[in-house]
Amino acid sequence: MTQTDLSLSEDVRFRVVPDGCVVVNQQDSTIAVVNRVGGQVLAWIRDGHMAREELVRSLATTWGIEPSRADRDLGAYLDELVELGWLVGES
Amino acid sequence: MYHHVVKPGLAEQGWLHSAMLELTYACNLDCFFCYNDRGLRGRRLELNDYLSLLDDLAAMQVLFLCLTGGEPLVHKDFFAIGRAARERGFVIRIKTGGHGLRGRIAERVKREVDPLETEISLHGATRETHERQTRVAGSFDRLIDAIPELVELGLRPRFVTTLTAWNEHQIADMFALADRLGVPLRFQGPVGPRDDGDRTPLQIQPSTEGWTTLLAIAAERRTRTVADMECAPVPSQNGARKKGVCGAGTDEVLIDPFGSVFPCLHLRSAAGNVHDESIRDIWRSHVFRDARRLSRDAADRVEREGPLSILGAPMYCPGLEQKGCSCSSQPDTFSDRLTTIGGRPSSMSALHAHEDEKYAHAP
Repeated sequence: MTQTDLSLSEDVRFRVVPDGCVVVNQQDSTIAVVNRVGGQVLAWIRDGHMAREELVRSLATTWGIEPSRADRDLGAYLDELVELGWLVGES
Repeated sequence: MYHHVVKPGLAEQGWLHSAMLELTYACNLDCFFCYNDRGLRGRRLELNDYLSLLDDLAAMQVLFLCLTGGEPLVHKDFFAIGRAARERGFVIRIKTGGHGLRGRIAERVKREVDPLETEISLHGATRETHERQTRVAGSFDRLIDAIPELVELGLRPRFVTTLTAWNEHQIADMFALADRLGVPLRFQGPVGPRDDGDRTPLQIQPSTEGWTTLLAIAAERRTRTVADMECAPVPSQNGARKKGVCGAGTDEVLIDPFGSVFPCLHLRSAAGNVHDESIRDIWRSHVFRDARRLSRDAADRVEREGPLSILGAPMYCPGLEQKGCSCSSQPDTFSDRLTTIGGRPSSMSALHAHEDEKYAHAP
C-alpha cells in the first residue's frame, strides 16, 4: 500500500455544508469553496485516512465511480491542494 | 462562489455558520461607551460547558468563532477555550481592547489559539482621544507599542474604530496611523445604548458631518464601512433574493457569559440558554424565526422607503430601532458616497472550476 506523506496544513480550516465545502486558508486569509466530494477528501485526510489506495477505495465506494477514475481524479486533486498550500508534503 | 452562492444558501437553509462568544464582561479598560450590562448576574458557563458547546457547534458545521467580551483575554479559561476551538477546526477571531496582548501572552495566543485575525479597538489617533474613551492612562502608548510585535507574530491585528463625537475629527489621522503600522482599519457604529437600557453612551454619537467625512475617505480608500455591511440576501416573495440589510437570525448566534443565546448584538431577547437546552434546539427556536422575519421586513422596508439611517449612521438596524433609537431617511450627503466600496476577501475558485458532473449526485 502506497502511503502519502501529505498532511493538512495547520492554516486550513473547513466545514462541509449543503452547497459544498467552505475552506479558509489562514496563511493568505482567503476563503474558497470546493464541492462536497473535495470536502470529504479533506475530512478523510484530516482524520488520518492517509493511504492513497484507501482514499481511492473510499472515493470509489462512496460515490460509485470506477476506481481507476477515482485514482486519476484524486491525484489531480491532491496535486492541486499541494499547489494551493492546503496540503503539505508529496502525494 | 462563497459570498454569492454558499453563504446565502446557508442562510436560506437555516444553517448556523458563525458564533460569537462573549466570554466575560470583565475588562482591563473602562470604555465610556461600553454596551455590556456589567450588572448582569447568573450562572457562568464553565470550561466544560464551553467544551460541550464547541463540540455541538462543530457538529453543526459552524466555521467561524469569535471570542469577545468584555475583554476575552482576561477570562480565566481563555487559552483552554481557544485551544479547544482550534482543535475543533474553527476559524477564530478575537475581539480585544489589546491592553494585555503583548509579550508572552501574545506568543501564547499565536501558538495555542492561532486566530485568523485579532481585531483591536482603536478610539483615536492620539493619546488624549483614545484614553478619553478607555479611561486608562497609558493605554494608547501600550497599544501602539505592541502592534509591530503582533504583526511580527502573525496575529494579523486589525483596528476597529467606533465613530464618535470624540474621534470624528481624527478619521484621516487614524487611517494614517494604521497605515504607518501596516494594520487595516475599519469603522463601525453607531454608538448604541447599553444592554441594560442606559442611554448615556448616545451622548457621544458622531455628527452627520462626521459620517459624511468617513464615507468620503472610505470611498477614496476603497475601505468598507458600516454602510457596506455584508448581510445575507433575503428571499423575496417571488423566490428571488434581495439585498439584505440586517443579518439577524440568519447564520449567527451570540452567546453571553451566562449561556443565554441571542440572534445578534442588538436583539437582546434570549432564544434560550445552553445550560438548559442544546444550541441545536435553541437555533430552531421561535426567537430566531422571528429575527429572520425581522431581517426580511428590514429589507422590504428599505426597498420601499429607500436607504435608512439609525442614530444618524448610514445603516438600518431594526434591533436598535426596537431599543427606541431614532430611525430616519438617510441625509442626501450620504447618498453620493454609498457607491459600492470594494474589498471582499479574494476567493479561490480554482477547485470549484474542477467540479465534475460525475459528482452531481453526491450527497
